[in-house]
This record gives sequence, C-alpha cells and structure tokens, in this order.
Amino acid sequence: MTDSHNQIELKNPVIAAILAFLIPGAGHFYQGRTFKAAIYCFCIMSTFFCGMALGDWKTVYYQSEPGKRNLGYFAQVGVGLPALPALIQTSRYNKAMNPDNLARNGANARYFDSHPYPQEMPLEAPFQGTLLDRGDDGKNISGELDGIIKLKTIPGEFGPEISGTFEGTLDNKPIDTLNLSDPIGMGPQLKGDSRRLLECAVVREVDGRRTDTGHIEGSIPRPFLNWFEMPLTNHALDDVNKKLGKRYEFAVVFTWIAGLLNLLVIWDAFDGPAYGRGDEEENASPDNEPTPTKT
Amino acid sequence: MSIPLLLANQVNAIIYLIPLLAVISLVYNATRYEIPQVIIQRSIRFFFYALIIMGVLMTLLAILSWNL
Repeated sequence: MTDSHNQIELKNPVIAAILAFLIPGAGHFYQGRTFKAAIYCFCIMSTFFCGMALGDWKTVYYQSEPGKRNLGYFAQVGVGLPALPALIQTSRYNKAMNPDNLARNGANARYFDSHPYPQEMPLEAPFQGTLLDRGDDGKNISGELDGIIKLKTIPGEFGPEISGTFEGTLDNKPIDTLNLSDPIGMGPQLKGDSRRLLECAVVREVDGRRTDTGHIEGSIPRPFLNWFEMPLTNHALDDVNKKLGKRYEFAVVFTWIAGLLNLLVIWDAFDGPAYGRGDEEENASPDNEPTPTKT
Repeated sequence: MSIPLLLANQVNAIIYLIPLLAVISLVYNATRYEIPQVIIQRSIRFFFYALIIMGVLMTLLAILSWNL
C-alpha cells in the first residue's frame, strides 16, 4: 500500500469500489478521475463485448448443476453488470428445466427437444428453414423456406391438436400457403441460442383425406431475454466449438481477462494506484532524501 | 494442413492477441500510476517488453519443436 490516497481524492472508497465493480470506470468517474475512468470503461467493456461477439454471444453463462459448473464465470463476473444477468438466467433456466415444471406444462422431459408446447399457442413468427414435401401433382418439392409461420390449438378427435399455416417463399419464389399439422416439435423456450428449432408436418388433401405429405424443419427467433447469457447444454457447447473452433477459446479468454482486469480496477478505486501518482521521483527534492549513515 | 495455411492460422491468432495485450498493458499500468503521461509511457514500454518476451518464447518453442 502507498500513501497515494493522501494525494488523490478517493471520496468514499467503498462506494467507488462498488461502482467500479458494477460498471468498469464508474468508480473512478465518481471520484473525478475521468482519464482513468475513460481508459477502464473503454478497455474493459470493449474486451468483454468483443469476447462476447467473437464467441457468438455464448461465452458468458453460469452452469450451476453439479459436475457441469463452469468456473470461468467467476472470472467473467468481475466485469459486473454485463455478466450478472447470467445468474438470473441460470435461475430461470433451472426452474424451467425442472422435471416437475416440465410435466406440469405438458412437456415430457425425455422428448423435451421435440415436444410441442401447447401453452405457447397461438404462435406467429418469422420462420426460416427447409421444406421436403410431395406436391398435389405427386412431384417432390424441396428447398429453402422463408416466411411467416402461424400455429394454433384446435379441438381434435383425440383432444387438442396443433394446426397452422406457412406463408412465404420457397427458394425466393412465392408459394401457396402450406397447411401444417401435428406432430410439431419445438426447441425449449429457454436456451442459449438466438434461434429456436421448429419442425412440423405438412398436410394436403389427397383423395378427400388430410394426409401428411412432407415436413418443414427450421427455426424461429427466440426472444432476447430467453437466450442471452442462458446456460449452454453440452450439446450446444459442442456445436459452438465445432462452428467457431479456436475462435471460441479466444473469445472466452477475452471475457475472463476483462473480468480479472476489473478486479485491479476495483482495488484502484478503493485504495488508489499501487505505486503512487507516478511523479514522486520528479518531486523528490535532494533535501528530502535520506542521508546515508557513515560507520 | 499446408504450411501457408498453418502460418495463416497462427497469424490469425496473433491478431487477437495484440489488442488484448494493448488493453492489458494500459489497464495494468493505469492501476499502478495516476498521471496520464506516466500511464501512457509505462503502457507503451510494457506492451513492447511483453511483445518481445512472447516473441522470444514463441521462437524458442518453435525451435524446440522443429521437425517433431
């Protein structure tokens, strides 16, 4: 420790340290040390968010299940507010993935990834994916779909069924509305991916009967709050590693370093710079220097 | 993987490391000193020292792993 706090106005060091934790540089801004506040805010925030962006926004999450805990989060959380939502998201995720909760919502945990969620109906969302179908003329139709999907629950012979339509383009050319029906599979409501998987059967009138002639498979957007800093499953982690390779490792390291650097910043806000102001040597006059003792 | 591709891959990695090193040297030195001029001077010195040390280590490792 130095006597730096005698020369530098630290105001209330505890408040400054808390502010520095919450937003890098905010503690120094509160103390009037604007140059350092700007350096900390720019450097730490940009490192953290570059790490997030490089890793497809999947680098910061907290997995609390025993055996799956990611200790790296404890380095990331040093950055404060930008990393703290992960704790709330973990709590939401664990609550939603609780088998009792899934059963209450009518979802079977074993078929969780491909089970429809009737309580979310009616649903209308932009859809992107692929079509594999047999047309009215018996010819196979396939290609890239882009448009709007609408699903709703209707009363069926054996209970509520899900039915819907797709309107949009196939390989960038407009197509007739597709009629959709059960079985419909949807990805979980909460997951660390900005797209939510969706697949369902395509039905047509064949010989006066509604018949499954094909299926569509793709994704709809997941709301920001349902994917941002959400825990990743092992499968999702494998996917992102496969997609980004070494870049994902760099991205994670960026976020760790940002969090760890902010620990130094918090201490600087609390106790001042470690080596003093930096002009001690210039200011030291020869009279103040200790005289060597002669023996 | 061919040698040019391997080199390109390494260069790609260094592109990420240089701004990271710049940030570390700036923030580290800002937590050591208070005067802006001193912070910037020390940061530049720290940056180049670290770059030289890492370069020497990388060369050493490359020599040791030659033909492995």
